[in-house]
Amino acid sequence: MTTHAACVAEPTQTGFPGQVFSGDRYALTDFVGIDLADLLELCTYNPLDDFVIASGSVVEGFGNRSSDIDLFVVRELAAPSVECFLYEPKSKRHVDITYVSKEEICQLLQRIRGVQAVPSDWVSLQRAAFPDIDIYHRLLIGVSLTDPLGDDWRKYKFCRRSVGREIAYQSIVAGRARWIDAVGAFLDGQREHAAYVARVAFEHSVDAYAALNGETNPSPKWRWARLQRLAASGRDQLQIFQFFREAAGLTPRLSLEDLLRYAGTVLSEAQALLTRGHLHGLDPLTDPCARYEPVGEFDYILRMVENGEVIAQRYG
Amino acid sequence: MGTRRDLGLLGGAAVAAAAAERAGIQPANAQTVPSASQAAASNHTIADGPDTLGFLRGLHDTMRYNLGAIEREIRELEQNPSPTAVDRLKARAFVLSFVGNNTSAARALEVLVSQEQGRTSRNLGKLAQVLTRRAQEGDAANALRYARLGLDLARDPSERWLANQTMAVAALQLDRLDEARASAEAALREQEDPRSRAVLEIVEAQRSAPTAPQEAAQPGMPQPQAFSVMRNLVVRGVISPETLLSSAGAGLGQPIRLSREDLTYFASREAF
Repeated sequence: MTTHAACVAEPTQTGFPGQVFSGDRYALTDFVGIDLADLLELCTYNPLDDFVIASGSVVEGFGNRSSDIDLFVVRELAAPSVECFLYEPKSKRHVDITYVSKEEICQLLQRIRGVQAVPSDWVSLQRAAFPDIDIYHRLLIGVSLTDPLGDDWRKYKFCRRSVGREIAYQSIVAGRARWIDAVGAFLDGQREHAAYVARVAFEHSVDAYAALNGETNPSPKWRWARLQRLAASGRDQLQIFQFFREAAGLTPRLSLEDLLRYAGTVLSEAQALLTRGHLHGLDPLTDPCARYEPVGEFDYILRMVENGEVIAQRYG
Repeated sequence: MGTRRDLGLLGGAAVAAAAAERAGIQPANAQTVPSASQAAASNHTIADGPDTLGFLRGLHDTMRYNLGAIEREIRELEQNPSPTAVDRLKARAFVLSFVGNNTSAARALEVLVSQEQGRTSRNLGKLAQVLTRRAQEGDAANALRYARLGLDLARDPSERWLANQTMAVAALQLDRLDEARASAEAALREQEDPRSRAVLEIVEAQRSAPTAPQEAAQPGMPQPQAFSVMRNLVVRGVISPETLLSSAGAGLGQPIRLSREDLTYFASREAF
């Protein structure tokens, strides 16, 4: 048996978790060092009707030897969601079990259907709640440990593109607002505050960019791990991870101006990806989004920041 | 109250007192001479010796059968050059069931049948059987469902027998006598087996027992036919001497009915 402890014994070159799990339920349980039966016996479920879905960082490839195992028991019967936390001594891991009903799953799928059109003002668009996005992502990547009679986990149409767009939309709206705040602070000479807010804006832009490229884990703690994985797989066309490592890492040496410029660029690219989808084969959204792109405040200020003379004219 | 084995080895008067106690009747002077009806009950235990021996031999035979079955499971796993997770799980679940650890066996079997490769007629039948032995709330109804599915998937007479037999026992536990009889008869059509015959006998014993209060036996008047059937079941090791004695107690004013525990005990017999 190959245990996960063995798999992560050597740190990856980048210093980020890099083991991507692929395989079936038996490979997964071997991977984390626990017997399938031991894992399932922790759950209360009907073997003919209910799904038990394994998910979390160990499935996603972000885990380590002490990462807990997330299980979702998707019950046929309607029942309120319940969560319990157990310790599995053989694998020395905690097991986090969430009980939900199939009905709740269907409702979740209705709530997160992706940003299908860009309204004239994104701020007014209803946003999915973070817990919904989080559980959606976990179930999206989940591995079914059971085969209920007459049911198939694949029939629940979790769509990476839908949740990616939802995350991107929310991140772009938040990032754009922070970026404009940062520019304002910068123009008023509040450099320390501008640097902090610009960093926040940059992180939002990274989240949007990563989500649109398929990295849909919404947790901020995996932000740079997601980006590293994008880079390792060749999907980081903007080379943001390289930028992060060299300039905006744990000890940023980047100038405030560069950070603002870079955050604005990534935001702009993410917005273009979301609205046009032309870079990665995503379906373009129907709204031309003209208000923001050619004459909108977003690109306008970006151009001003890139050109000090324009800034002086506009805000001087 | 003692265990079945304790009661099976008790002397006549003490047994009668115990039977009366189980029947919910407190003797006028439990420490002294039994009443006439209690003595009548104790008369049925004159043949207690052979009944007890039959019961004990039945237990012994069951244990021997189980040991052989455990060895078979271990051997099959040892001889499998590349056992899958389902193969290991099946062996573990079956051995747990043969050991008599019904709760652990039920959980392992539930895991087993939750896997597509593990959802076979035999595995479903075994799960249903284990649930009838455990006999917790909801187990009989679940056992019926598993056994029915096992019957749908059955490929040979032995699998169809197991499914039908387990359905019969589960139906008995749910007090669905017609269903139990139909399933037992279906089981017998697949293969002749004393366990299926025993179900039919139990159904008859249950049927001959009065159910409504106005039909209750008169004090001191056991139901002879039912008692005879049940005594026969004791001799064959199907039910315990305690049940027989409880039936004697029934003559003290309680209807003769097999309890859930009796049926669970019956279901627990792998072979007799």
